[in-house]
Amino acid sequence: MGAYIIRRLLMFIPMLLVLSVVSFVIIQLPPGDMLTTYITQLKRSGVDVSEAEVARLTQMYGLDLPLHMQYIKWFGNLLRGNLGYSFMWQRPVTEIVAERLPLTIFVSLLTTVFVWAVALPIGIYSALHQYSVFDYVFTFIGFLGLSIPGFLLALVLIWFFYSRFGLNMTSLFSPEFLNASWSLAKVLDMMKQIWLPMIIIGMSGTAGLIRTVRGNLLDELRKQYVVTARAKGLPERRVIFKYPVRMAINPLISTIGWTLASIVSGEALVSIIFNIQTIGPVLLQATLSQDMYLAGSITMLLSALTVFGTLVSDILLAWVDPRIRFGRGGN
Amino acid sequence: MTKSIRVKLMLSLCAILILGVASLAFAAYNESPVLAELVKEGKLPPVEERLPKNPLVVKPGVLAMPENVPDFQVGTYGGTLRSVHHAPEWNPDFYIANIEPLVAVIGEGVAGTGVHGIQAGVVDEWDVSEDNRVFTFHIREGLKWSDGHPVTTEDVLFAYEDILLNETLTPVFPVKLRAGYRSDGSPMKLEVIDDYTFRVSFDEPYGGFLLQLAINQWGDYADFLIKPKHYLKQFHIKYTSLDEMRPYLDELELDDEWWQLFWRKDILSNERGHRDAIGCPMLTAWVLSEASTQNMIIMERNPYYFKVDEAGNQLPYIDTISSQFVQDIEMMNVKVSTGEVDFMRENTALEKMPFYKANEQRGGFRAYLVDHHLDPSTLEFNFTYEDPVWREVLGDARFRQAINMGINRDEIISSVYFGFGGVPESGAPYDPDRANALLDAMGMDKRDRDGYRLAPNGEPFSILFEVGTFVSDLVQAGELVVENLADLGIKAMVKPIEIGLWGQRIQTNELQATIMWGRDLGQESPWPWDPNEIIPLYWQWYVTGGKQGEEPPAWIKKGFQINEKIWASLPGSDEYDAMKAEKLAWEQEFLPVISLVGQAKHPIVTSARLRNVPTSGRDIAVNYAMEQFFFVNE
Repeated sequence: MGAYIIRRLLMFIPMLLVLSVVSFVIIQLPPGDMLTTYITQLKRSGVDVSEAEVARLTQMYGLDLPLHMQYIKWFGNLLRGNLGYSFMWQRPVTEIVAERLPLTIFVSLLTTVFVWAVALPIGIYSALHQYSVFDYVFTFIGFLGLSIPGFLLALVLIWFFYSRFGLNMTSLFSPEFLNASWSLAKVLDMMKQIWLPMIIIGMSGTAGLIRTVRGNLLDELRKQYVVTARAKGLPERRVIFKYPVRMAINPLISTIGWTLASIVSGEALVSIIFNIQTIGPVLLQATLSQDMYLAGSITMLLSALTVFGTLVSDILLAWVDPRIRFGRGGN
Repeated sequence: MTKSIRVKLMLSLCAILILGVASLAFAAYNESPVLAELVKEGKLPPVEERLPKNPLVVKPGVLAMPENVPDFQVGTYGGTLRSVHHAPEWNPDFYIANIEPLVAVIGEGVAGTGVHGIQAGVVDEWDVSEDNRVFTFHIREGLKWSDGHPVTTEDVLFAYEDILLNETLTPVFPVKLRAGYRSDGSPMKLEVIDDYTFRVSFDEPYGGFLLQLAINQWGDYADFLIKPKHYLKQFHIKYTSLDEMRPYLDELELDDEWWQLFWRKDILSNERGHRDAIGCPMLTAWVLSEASTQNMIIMERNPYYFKVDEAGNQLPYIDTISSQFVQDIEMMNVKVSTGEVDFMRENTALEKMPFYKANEQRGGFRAYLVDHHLDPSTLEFNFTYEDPVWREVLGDARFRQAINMGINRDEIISSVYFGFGGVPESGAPYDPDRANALLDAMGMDKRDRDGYRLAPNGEPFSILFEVGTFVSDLVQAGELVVENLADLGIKAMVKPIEIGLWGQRIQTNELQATIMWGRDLGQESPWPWDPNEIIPLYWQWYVTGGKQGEEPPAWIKKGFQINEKIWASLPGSDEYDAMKAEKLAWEQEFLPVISLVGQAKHPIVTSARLRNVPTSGRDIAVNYAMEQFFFVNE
């Protein structure tokens, strides 16, 4: 097991190297660079950027260097823990990410908990009562959840709450807390607002997970060990929860690794609408404006998290599922 | 300078002097309760000591034209004006509200109809030599930076000698400060006369220099001529050693690149919302507060601001302006509808007007239309696009005239601009028959199988408008133009492209035609802001003195000459007016660009509790008057 983990950790290095090249190249692929985007944005407001200004910005951000030199400079700094400077924000990337990371993780965790808390019982119920009325109802809702884009639902719900109840859901905090530092009151204020985005961000995940749990559990229930357990007279609760359910939640554990990355990319649009200051919208904006250090660093960070998360879920899986553990032991 | 102008100038100087004396005689200034509190605590000197000897007195006709603010009144202090922004630390409405030019144009000038009303701003007196080469300015005596340090010619000398003449800090001398507003003109010279008087001279006539300082491209004192020396010298190698700068350099992860540190600390007019601006002394009405974070731009009143109202109240009336960051431009309109925005100009849109109106009551705001400060859509053809057939056709003025006549502007105005617009100055009445006749006469009378006209040499001919996705009406108007052109037998297409790509294709001369905003304020040249949008190679020829690019045809050279003469003349002089008339005649004859719509409208959103807000005139002029806004309690 120890050797396995070390081997997996070593595989990290080439993997991240490849990821860094890919993310850097992808950001550079569209025409123009961050300077053209920045200038055109100012132009929109009627500000003309003088040649002098362009010259100094080009030098300041090293845009006069050839592409591979820009990459080497970026990656070299990355290794030293310096994520570079964001062009749009004119601030170190580390600062921007650090500011948003806690809220991002919080929203992700909350959403994950919500998804599991809702999807597991429903999935189990649906499998145990296949083709019952509620199974159909949950299936229907599940398909709705999968097919309606989160941002659309968010817009509709914001409008609905505002026009019917006068509730304003367009930001995570009430105005008086916007600029306040963190306090109990601010957290409570946030909890009043966060449930709606949480449900919407978690919606498609919930729907997907219900389907997975239901399908897996149905497969397990038909297996012979369940029949045997029942024949031996084990209480029904124990038959279900001790064996098939534990098998059925394996996919849950094996996907932990992607959870963070998928939530960050999935929440971007919803966060824009609810005005939640997480990493998703920043990544989107950075990509659009070709803010390469910011976009590149966030992509790197998410990729690294995904790679690392996959490792964690593999280990967890081995720990939870004796078949995997003993299977490897046998090799 | 003509005699009449000199008399006018003297008269206005007298008026300013009298006002100054009068205000001294009364010497009873009032201030915001917030500041009075600080004075009482001994944290601020009294208001009389904070104001210059001769503050700028704001009354009708100073920040906005009197007819645009019919119910102008002396206001009351207090309140926070709320706004939203969607680009990090950049709020265009606050940017314009905090512009403090050396000399200002208001009303007339901002209306873009002329610049006859050049007025005092940061400087209270100025004089222009007979030949429009030498400009003498007098800074308001006793004017202070927002930290209380006096503003003197030391700050001007610093800006000139230590920044503009320093090749590390200024690799390219700004074209605005070159004679005649030409990149080959010689740089300005500075002469300091006393603590408050300085002289800028050029080796060629450059009367338009006043216009540059006042309004062209919006900038103000901070962009060129006055920099807070007492603050910035701590980041300048001439005054401070690298060792002393080390903590700042370390913070930015820099080694010895002190100039990068300097650039960061030297706050230009468009950087005032950025957190580096915290601590940088300003002359603006509001300055960035320590409390600003990534989510909020908060600006607090400048206790040393140099404007007062007629009753002697120091401006601005509003204590704080604050802006919340939203992550998308559409969300700004949602915030407007829920009443979370007290003022918005830049990011409103005509097509959103019904939405604003539906939510006015509930959101507690007013939405109304004023004049747009630019022509919202203009056809721009690239005269130096690398295609001989295209060049031959476009080079024939009859082709441009035919298009100008063949566009059904009424249709565009009613369907894209909801009826709010008119025929622009260089526009022509809709006359497809004459347009067709012109096209036939220029040799485009042969057609292909689909009925489209062929070029005079018999080759296929088509126009591709690649339009940047800045706003939706550019593409919508373009689609109607394509239909109009098809009626004339000209094959054309519109293709929306991402703005980064749009900018790049212009730089590389790959754009055949586009649709963009035209005729902006303070934009005196007969070209778009970026001449590369229509004449990239000719422009290159012009700015390199014929070394690169291509020699333009005679009519374009004439355009260059007209441009030079406009910038050489003094705004508002007879010579200037004559050149403006000549420019218009030239534009009507040669049509370097074809404007689709003039006199367009743009919505303003203001809180129903806000007063002294201009209700007519040009949209951007509303921002310029923000220090006279105040809240009433209802």
